Amino acid sequence: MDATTRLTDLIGRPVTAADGRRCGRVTDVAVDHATRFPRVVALAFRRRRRLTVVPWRCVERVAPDQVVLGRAEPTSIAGGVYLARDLLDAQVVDIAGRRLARVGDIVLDQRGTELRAVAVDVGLAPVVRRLGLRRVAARLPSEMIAWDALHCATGRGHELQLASPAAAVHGLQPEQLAEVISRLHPDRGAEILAAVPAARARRVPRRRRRRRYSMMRARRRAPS
Amino acid sequence: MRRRSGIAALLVVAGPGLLAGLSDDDPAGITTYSILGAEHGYELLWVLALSTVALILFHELGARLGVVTGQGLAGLIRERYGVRRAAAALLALVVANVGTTCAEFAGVAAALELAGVTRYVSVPAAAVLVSALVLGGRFHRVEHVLLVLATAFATYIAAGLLARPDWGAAAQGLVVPSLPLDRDGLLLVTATIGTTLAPWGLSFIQSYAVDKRLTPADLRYERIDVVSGAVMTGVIGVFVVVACAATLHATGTSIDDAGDAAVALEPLAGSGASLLFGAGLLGAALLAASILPLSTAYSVGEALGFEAGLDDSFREARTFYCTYGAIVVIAVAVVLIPGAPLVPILFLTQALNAVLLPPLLVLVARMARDEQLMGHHRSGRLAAVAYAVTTGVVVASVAALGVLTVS
Repeated sequence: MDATTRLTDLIGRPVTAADGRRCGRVTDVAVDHATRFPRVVALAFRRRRRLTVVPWRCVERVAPDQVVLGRAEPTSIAGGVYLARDLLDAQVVDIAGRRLARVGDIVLDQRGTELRAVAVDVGLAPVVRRLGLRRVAARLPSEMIAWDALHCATGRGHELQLASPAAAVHGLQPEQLAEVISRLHPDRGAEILAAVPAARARRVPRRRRRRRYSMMRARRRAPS
Repeated sequence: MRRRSGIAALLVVAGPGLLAGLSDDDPAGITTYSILGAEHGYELLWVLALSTVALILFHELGARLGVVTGQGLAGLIRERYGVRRAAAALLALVVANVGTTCAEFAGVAAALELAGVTRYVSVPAAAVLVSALVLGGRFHRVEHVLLVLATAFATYIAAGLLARPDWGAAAQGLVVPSLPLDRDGLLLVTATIGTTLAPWGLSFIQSYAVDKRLTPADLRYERIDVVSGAVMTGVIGVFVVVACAATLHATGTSIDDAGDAAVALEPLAGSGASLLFGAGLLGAALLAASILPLSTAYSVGEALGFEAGLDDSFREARTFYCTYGAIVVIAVAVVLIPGAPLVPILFLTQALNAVLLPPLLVLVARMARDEQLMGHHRSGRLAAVAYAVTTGVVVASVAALGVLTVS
């Protein structure tokens, strides 16, 4: 089934085994960050207090009202990016729009059983919808940022995007890098400068006026 | 790039602690201290000493959280605890902050009414002034103006000296605790703690430290900034209490608000003291009236995802500036509309602040111990105990007050 799903709609969806047995409810999904639009590689669900993580290949079918598992091979994906835990409500830098925003929801593109994270919604609509005010939310604007045009500003997302060559930040020109760095915490900015090729890092211009402070700080902290 | 150190570095970093601390001596605070001095003399000065310690503890924590995570309090609550909790916290904060802003503009009205200026002139003028300052200026200019405004507090020190207090009794009151067990006394104690450790102040110092782009390397100087701000606040409070204790308490004069105090001081300590007191009240009111809407605008932006700062232009940060403007407009309206229930609003606001404080303190202390969030800047065990004790005292006094009020 091809469709677009929102992460917050997926979370809480019942998970059932092939024989109809209830296994719990979806709490999170993990993605493989090595590709431009990350593919979902694991499903985390909870039944009562027990949290189980299974590789996505165990999923037989994703329907609007449930997720059906073919078999269960519990596993743990250490070091992965879990969308709800690491990205939802976290800050991201919108490279194209040049601003800091907070993720209200994540858009997943579904082809058959393959799910890919394609965009995040940073507008007011997802916030209001998650508070239960669906009808008000329907009238509010969504602001989508494509996954390949954003950089995670906080925590694990930032680390993993830096480590992944396909992430947006590695394809940026010096001017764009300057914009991103100027909006981040100086420590993160320094980490980005350290992660891009030295030749490009040197060409990143100092920002005049406004964000100059951050930029100077980032340069000072980056190993030269 | 040459690294600054010493005084130069401190001057660059200083601001958040000073402003967050000094804005706690707003008209409501000055009123509380005035009544404290008028009704109980020097006896309850120890409460000020303790609330200054509490202020240092939690403002340092707020500044550290902001500097290490790069996020304000509301944003951090959303990231760690989700949209619902953030929305609830935001709602409570906004309602409480609007009420407190009404109190600040009422303070402006009261201070200038002492000089014979009608509130229908003074309050709109103040509103335009504080809005123009924040909306027009760049971060550093706004900060400098606010700090200059804060020097108005020196008037309280002068007023306190003019009142010729009994310093021996003051010293004793500072150090020897004596607990009033009646409702009014307990109300005063709770109000003192609450006016010092206000939810909006905790939120402000964190958001402001983020807007100022401070980094963990600045933490050493930032701590000095926080301690300075808190100690100055405490000292100013002490001088207010002492000024009223030496004059009003000695003659048994009872007052209802800071305006009364300024008036009542005149026959007892001369027109100089009275004038200084009123001037201090005006400065305090203007400072807090600038900072309260700012704190709210920061919080709204963080929780809803429209983060913005003072350096952003109006076009870039519409929600930020419109929130600021809306808070100011509502507060001015409430103060100016004849027949508006100002006193109940002020009372309920203080109650809301008191109720909101303990959960916030708990939340903030928990985040301080979070290794994933804070890394090696997380709070140690001793600090955790100190936070717990302070929170316990706050909860106890609010609970005791609740019990006494209901019974």
